[in-house]
Amino acid sequence: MKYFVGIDIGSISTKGVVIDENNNIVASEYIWTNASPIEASKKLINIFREKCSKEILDNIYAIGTTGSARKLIGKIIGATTIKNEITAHAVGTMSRCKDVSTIIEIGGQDSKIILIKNGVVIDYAMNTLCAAGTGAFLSSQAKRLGVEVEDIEKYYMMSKNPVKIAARCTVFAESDMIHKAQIGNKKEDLIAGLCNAVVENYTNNFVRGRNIEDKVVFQGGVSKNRGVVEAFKKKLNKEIYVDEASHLLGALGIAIIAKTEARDNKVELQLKDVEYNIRENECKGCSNGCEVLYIFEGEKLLDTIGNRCEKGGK
Amino acid sequence: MKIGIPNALFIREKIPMYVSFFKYNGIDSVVSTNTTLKTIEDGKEIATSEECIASKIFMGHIHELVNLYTNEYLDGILIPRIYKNGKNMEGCVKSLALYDIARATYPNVKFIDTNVDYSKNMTYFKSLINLGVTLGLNSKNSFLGAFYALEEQKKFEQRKYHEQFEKIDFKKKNILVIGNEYIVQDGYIKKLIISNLEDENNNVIYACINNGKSRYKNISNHLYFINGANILNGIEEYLPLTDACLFITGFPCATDSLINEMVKKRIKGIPYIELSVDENTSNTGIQTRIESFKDMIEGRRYV
Repeated sequence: MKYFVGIDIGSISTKGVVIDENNNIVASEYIWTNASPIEASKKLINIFREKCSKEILDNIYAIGTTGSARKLIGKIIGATTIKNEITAHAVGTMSRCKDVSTIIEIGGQDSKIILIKNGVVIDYAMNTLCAAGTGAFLSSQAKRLGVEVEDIEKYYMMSKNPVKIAARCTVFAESDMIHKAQIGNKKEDLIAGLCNAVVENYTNNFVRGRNIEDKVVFQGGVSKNRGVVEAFKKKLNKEIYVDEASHLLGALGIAIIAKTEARDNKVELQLKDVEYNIRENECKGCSNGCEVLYIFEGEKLLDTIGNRCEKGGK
Repeated sequence: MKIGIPNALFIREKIPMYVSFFKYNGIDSVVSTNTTLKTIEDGKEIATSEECIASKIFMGHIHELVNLYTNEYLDGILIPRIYKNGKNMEGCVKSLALYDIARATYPNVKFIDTNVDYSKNMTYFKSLINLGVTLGLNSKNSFLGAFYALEEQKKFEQRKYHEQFEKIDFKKKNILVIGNEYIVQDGYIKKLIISNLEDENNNVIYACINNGKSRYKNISNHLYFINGANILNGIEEYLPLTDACLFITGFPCATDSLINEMVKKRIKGIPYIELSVDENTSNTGIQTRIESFKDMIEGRRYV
């Protein structure tokens, strides 16, 4: 049996799966990135090395990376496939749910909508200028209210009269919420208002003019929050499906893509115990000032990212 | 005499005209270099923060030319003032204000203006003759120079159109890039977006380079801005040949805001995305979007 690894290094969390030839997940892990993707990947790989049997570790044929740190981690661990998260999420979702037409994805710092027809992505959109209405917003506001992120759904269910919170900008939403709290609204109503604001923000940004067709799948970290799921159901007036592995679908997708692009030689899943130094520099080759990322393995220059001509990367 | 011409905004597409006019009359012209990150950084500092990316780029080019002027390399900087460059439609109000903005920013620099206003029959031809008068040329030479300049401009546009037409390649996927000429053809934005898009499988063509026939009426009978009309003409001309469309907007753009819903409705059934660019746009965000756009065009099935 051949095995394939997919790693999704997001801004908030790092997800990894190991799949077999039939796309079954044989091992999975979800850990916090804590703004240090290299450390997180190291930890993730070590967990896999302990968790998986020798038979699996000896028969890995491809490793894929996706998420916002895909290029950096891909270069360090020698990934065979590096692909953007939109394609990865679409593939991951389609493998679990063949008849999906709309994917709603809300992660830590971005949110997106992906429309699928006949197994191919036909349209997508990603938030452009700010991170309003994403996981980072929810978790920081929950912290302000002294509520654990995991408890948001309980409060949502308890609320009978959700407050109205501005749905556009995180800063406005925050001052709105503080005001509503100061005039004595209940905590559960505030939290329900927050969940509604996330949904409102999402529909304002992405649904405009798009046809939301069945079946709608909701994924990304925020989909684990049933409060937001319920708010989406009400707003879109549609059944919303949340896969039990909804937080892993990006990693699953990239593992499947890596599988299709795999060659016949085995790869080793490991991260050398070396200090990796990253230095970001503005290239001085010309006045365009490309941002070039230099990756040092110990003292040795391993690779560069963002280099666009022969002048840079030195 | 040496005169500087900014390589930005509405002046960009008419550069061959001004250069040939000056050449005919024995005046040297200096066109500012292609936009780089430095141009944008300079422009950001000079322009007010609410202005659009294109105006900031423009101010960056003015900054470059002003530097040449203060080093006594130039005798003046040309900024035409364009009220109306079509019979029934308006141009963006920026085209009207540029000269005055530049003059207010640099009061000690000599800026040379010439008005274009089709509603008062002040065509490009007449505006060139007026420019000659301002510069103190003799009237016969400025008349002949204007004639020559318009001929050269026409030749240049035709050449550009033919080059693009020959570039269309049905062995590749043809991606139609929609947007104002000064945005999609700008040196920096080209490097940021188009260089990521164009490769061995994908071929880029521009809607702004078209044969000028008024095809926009198929989409909307009446349009307010002439820039919008030009973009829609291009879409109508190239849409049957394209596999995907990308709309690039400079943030914030008034003229684009009036047509992007129309464009979205017109382009159905092929991959289509909108990208808005401002001076803070980072490379990473653009790359993720372009990569997934390419995946969408490829339409490969993994499961």
